Amino acid sequence: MSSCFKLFDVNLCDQATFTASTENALFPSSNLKDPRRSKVYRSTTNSDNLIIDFQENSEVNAIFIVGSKRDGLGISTVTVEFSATSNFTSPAYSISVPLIEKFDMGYISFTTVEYRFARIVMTSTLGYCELSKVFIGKEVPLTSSISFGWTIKDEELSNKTKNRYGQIFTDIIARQKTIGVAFKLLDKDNLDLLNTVIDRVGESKPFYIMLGNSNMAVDYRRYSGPVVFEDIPTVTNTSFNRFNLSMTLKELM
Amino acid sequence: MTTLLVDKLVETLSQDITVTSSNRIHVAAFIPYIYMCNAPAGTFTFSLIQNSITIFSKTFTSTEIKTSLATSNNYAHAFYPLIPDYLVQMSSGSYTVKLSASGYTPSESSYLGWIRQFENIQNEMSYTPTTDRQNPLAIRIKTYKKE
Repeated sequence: MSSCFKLFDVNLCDQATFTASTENALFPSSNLKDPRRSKVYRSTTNSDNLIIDFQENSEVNAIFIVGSKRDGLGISTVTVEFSATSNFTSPAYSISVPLIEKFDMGYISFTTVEYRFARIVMTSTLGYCELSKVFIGKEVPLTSSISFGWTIKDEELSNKTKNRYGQIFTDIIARQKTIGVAFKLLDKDNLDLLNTVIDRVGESKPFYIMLGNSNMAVDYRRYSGPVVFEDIPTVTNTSFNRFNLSMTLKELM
Repeated sequence: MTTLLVDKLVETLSQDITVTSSNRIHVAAFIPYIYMCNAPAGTFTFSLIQNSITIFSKTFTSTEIKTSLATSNNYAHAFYPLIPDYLVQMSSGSYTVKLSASGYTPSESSYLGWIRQFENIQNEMSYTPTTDRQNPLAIRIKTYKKE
């Protein structure tokens, strides 16, 4: 698999059922399936958990925890436990997800495990625990030999107006990342994997990326997280069994 | 000459604060204005309390204050940053910040104090003090800037 570019498209949470230890009726756990980051799940205490039933044994090797764009993360710590049954007295596997406030997200990858149930154990200092989006699933197995370059631009969504004295009045909203990725000389197998992702998510369904690693960025999580395709990527056949693919990704808002 | 108005820590010192931000704030550090008199022994605990529940606490010692200031002097007054080991978030509402200690015996010659603030640059006071002693215990709260 690629160490500098990772794709995660099948979110097991999309088909799962949730059982929350507590739930604020205004912020139900079903909001986790809503693609908008403003729709959040919120519990009613500082220490809560959310049991996720994937409906069948499912392979998992990565987790993303995402906060809302406006308020950021609403948790202090999060651990994800896995079990073959809904009984989590002694979970079979447990992993802590490191969170970073600056980028409103947490991410961890690990050796693949296969279980039907997961439990997100959360603590907070807010009087409630809040999750905007959660990805639990498996990385798309691109090979490590792919070559790519990328660009990133933060687009300021705030409205700025200027009066005739040059004073600026800003309606502060947020910034949205636009990430351009250009794969070079893909072979047919990697192209097929990317085409499968494109077919699966289209232009509206969110998926997750991890761009870079600790050797090429102080904090690669700046370039990672939930995204959607701006448009369907362009594929160019450059020579026999070699393809260039370029795509533009927008940060999920 | 600077005059410091210091409350000596005997058992506990506390200060009520109100967060008025409409957005959730993400705390990078709590920074109380501490006076260290002759590097008292003991372990001090800074706590953040909401609705009688301690939602954050961190301990420190005189030695750690000296280390952070890179000094061997046993006397100091400084804004001492306490950086959370986990994410601490606050929403609008009332909180109490508290200083307590264990293994600590204050005396006239050795104690830890919390300095009252005359000029509030960062925090707005909700009342008008009529005496110096009504000034609030000084604290700065540094937050992460949202992307």
